[in-house]
Amino acid sequence: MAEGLSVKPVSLDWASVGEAEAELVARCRTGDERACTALVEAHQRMVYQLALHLLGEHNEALDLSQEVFLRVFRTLHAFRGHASLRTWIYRIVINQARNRQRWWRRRKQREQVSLDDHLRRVGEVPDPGRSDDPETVVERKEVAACVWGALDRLPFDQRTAIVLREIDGLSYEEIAYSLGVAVGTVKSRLARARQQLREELRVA
Amino acid sequence: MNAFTCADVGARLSAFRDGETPVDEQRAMRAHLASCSACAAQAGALESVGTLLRASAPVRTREQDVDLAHLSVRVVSQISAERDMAWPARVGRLFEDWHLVWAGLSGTTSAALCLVLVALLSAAVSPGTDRNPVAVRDAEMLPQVLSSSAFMPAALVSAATQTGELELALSGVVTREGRLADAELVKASFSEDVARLMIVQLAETRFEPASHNGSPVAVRVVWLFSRTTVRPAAPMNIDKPGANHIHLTADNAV
Repeated sequence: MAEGLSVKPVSLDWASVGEAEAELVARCRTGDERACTALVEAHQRMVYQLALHLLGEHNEALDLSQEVFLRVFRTLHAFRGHASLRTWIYRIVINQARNRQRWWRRRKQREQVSLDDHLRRVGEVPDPGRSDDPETVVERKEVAACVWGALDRLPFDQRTAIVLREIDGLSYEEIAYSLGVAVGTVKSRLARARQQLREELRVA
Repeated sequence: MNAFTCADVGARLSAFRDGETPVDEQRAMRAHLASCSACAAQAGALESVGTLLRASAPVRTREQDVDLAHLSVRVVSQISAERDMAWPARVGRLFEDWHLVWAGLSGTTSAALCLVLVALLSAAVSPGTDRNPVAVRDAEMLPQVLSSSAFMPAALVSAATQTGELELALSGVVTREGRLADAELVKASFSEDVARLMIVQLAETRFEPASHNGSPVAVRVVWLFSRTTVRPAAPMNIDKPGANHIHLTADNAV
């Protein structure tokens, strides 16, 4: 399916902004430091996690998270509740990450890193707690590095779409709003991303 | 809805897996997947990709959590600092202390007055302005009478006709706009009233202003008008009487 064929508009309703969230936003706009701290603490894990998945490096993700929240507070007056605060912040993360990854990816491509370096950068591989066998642990880490390597090779928009869907569990409408595209475009990007990952990972 | 083909299913498999297809399509998809092992395998592969991604997503380490814990402090302190430095806040603080307001207003007024004074002085003393005309240094600087303007007043011609010989000297400033200003009678060999009338008429004359370094400048000029009768030494042909000339010369004075 070609991109852009879908013309379904992105329509996230106002009801998605709850009363408590609206009040928090109003207090932040007045410069209430406690409210600002509460807003950051409520969303920092989500922001950092998405930044980490998009950029693949802890320090970069942390730096981007700070930039995102600064941007959030600088532009909070423009937030009109067309989407939930979380989705609006997602959109900012993606825009900031898109700007940053242009040079960041070029730098990364010149570097060949070991598995341990990779894990040091991104964090630990989740432990399902099934086995403590060292060989199994190493194998699991290798698979994880392989999967994230394949993800890293996807075009930015496809990578973002699949991370938002598979890891963050966003709906197509939320992804469309976050990426600033139509829902049909999200569908086609996800289909292509899955197809490419399947081929790279040789999932039968 | 008609039954889906494998191509139909393939095109919708990703959205179907995410539960983002319409209900009637979902029914048709399920029916096809139940009967087509190849498409069912494709659906399973898509599911595996998702499972692999979620299973491989990095989890935060303790060190990363510590770094993240300081994020809100860093962000909020920077935003507060930016707000403190914002213009409205600065202006608001300024008005908290009226001494500063008066000091600021006084300083601004004094500076404005000084600027006006400097501008006036500079206009007054800079050479070439209408108030400070320069001398004509060479013929090129001499203001030329515009072709559309008559420089020879009728009164002068009339006085010359009545008195025969005449001399008139007058000074004036040709401004940067090409007008005659500050015209003064220096010497006249005939009635002063006639001379004054001449000056009034001359004030209507328009000049091409003098220029210096490509810019128009005001110049002070002294004109000498004289009418003389030239009489030949040899007898003249009665049909060719002596020519009467009115000479116009210009001199400069500082």
